[in-house]
Amino acid sequence: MSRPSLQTVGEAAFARCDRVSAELLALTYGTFVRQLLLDYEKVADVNAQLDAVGCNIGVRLVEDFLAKSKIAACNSFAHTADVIAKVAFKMFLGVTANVTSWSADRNTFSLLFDDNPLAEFTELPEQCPDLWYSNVLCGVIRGALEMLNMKVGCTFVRCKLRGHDTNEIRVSLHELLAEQPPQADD
Amino acid sequence: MAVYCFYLFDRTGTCLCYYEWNRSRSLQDASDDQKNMFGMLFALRNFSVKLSPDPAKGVPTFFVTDVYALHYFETPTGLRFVLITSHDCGSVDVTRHLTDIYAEVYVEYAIKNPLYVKGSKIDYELFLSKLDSYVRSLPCF
Amino acid sequence: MHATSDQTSVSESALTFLHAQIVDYHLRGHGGHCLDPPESPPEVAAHHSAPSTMPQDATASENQDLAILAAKRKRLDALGNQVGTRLVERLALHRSRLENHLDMVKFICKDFWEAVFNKHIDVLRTNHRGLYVLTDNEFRWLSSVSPTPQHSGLPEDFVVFPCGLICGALTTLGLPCRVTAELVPVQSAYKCSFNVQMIQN
Repeated sequence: MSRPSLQTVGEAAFARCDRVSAELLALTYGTFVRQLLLDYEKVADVNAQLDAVGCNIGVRLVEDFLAKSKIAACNSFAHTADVIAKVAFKMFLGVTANVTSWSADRNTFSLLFDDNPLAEFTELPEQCPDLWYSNVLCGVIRGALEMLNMKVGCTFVRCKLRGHDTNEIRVSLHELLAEQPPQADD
Repeated sequence: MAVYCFYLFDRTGTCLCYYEWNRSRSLQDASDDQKNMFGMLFALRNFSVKLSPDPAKGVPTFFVTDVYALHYFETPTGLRFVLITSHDCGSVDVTRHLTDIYAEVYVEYAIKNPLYVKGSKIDYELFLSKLDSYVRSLPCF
Repeated sequence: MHATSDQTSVSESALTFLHAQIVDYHLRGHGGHCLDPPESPPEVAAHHSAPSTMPQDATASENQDLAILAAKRKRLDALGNQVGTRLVERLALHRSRLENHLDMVKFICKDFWEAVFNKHIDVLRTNHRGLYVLTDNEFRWLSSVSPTPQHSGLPEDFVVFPCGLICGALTTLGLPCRVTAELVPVQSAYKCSFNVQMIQN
């Protein structure tokens, strides 16, 4: 009997969880991004704030993910990539991504996805061509993976809101964090 | 069969939660006890994995003595759930219940509690009462 | 408990986590990267930053703190208002026009509440003179929060956005109003009542 594919695991986890309309998430997120654009003068700062927010979400979301998907620790970075694309994306956003463009040293990959619930009914304001609208996703991935002892860099390289043909996030493994032994007293 | 106490540690060794139902030897110093427990678990786990023929496996799920059993579950994020029970619970699959505590108590009432600061001691009544009622509902209680 | 099949849906926890961060951003200062060493956050445009002068006596300082908190909550409420407005427009698109105020409130209690919280309002009361009280006995966004003395006042932060949602939605439907929330601890959880006061022209 073969193990269920990651796609199946993702779909099952998504079917089991409590859900809300993608519209509600998109509207909430979009209104928040617009608020940030008013609060910060530089678009780069908005991108940074979205990443920070994502990171704060990621360190908690990873526990929800592990508990509900029952996925055990991944034994390779490649497996981690597949789990993010097929299980995590599906479980939280209802869409799946594809893993492509591995670097030669196998430490960097791209997540490609066409559908992005965060960006539904959204158009980029003309004065913000440098905005990575869904940058929160980069923060989420970064925060989640750090809790799994992987220090990664995570950036958008293509975004449909900017006129690209698809959405692409590039994830790069910087460092594997070793578990620290407990500190001795005195 | 009886359940004595519960510990929850995060990956830094902080004891996020200690709950007691029935502990015959009174604690002199709770903080000391928790440090010792974490230290012992850390060493035991690493030793156990070293012995394992498969380096990706070998994490202990329980050990049993003539008076008590210790049940252990750890998450990939370094959370460690420990339940100390009477020794006749040694053969019961309590680890499965620890994963339920992770999913249904910790994630629902700590992680999803926006007031809870991750990494700090969990002293929320709702969390503790859910933990208590879950453990009391177990057949080994 | 799930969104209808002709709508795309996302996990409820994605929204829960996002909302918690939005509250944090508005009410507790701008969070930096949670994993980086503490550094000063990027400069915020001047007209949105809080005043920084230190008043002389304690009461003036407390009043100023309250005023700052009220201003922050107002911003968060305004955010909810915008979302409520746009969401109700989409929800009410294919429905016949709601003729009277009670029908509008009932729409909020059923269709709107279902779309946002996956349940209906449990109790609706009105004095038939412009005041409606919508009570949710198990308000989902606070279902994991228990009344704790050291965190008193903080759970209220998590009903500010929902108040804005209701206000924006009702105003768009044709009932301009002010919405406040009341949290009542019930055993180790909270019951939430939303007071909708119609604004007379």
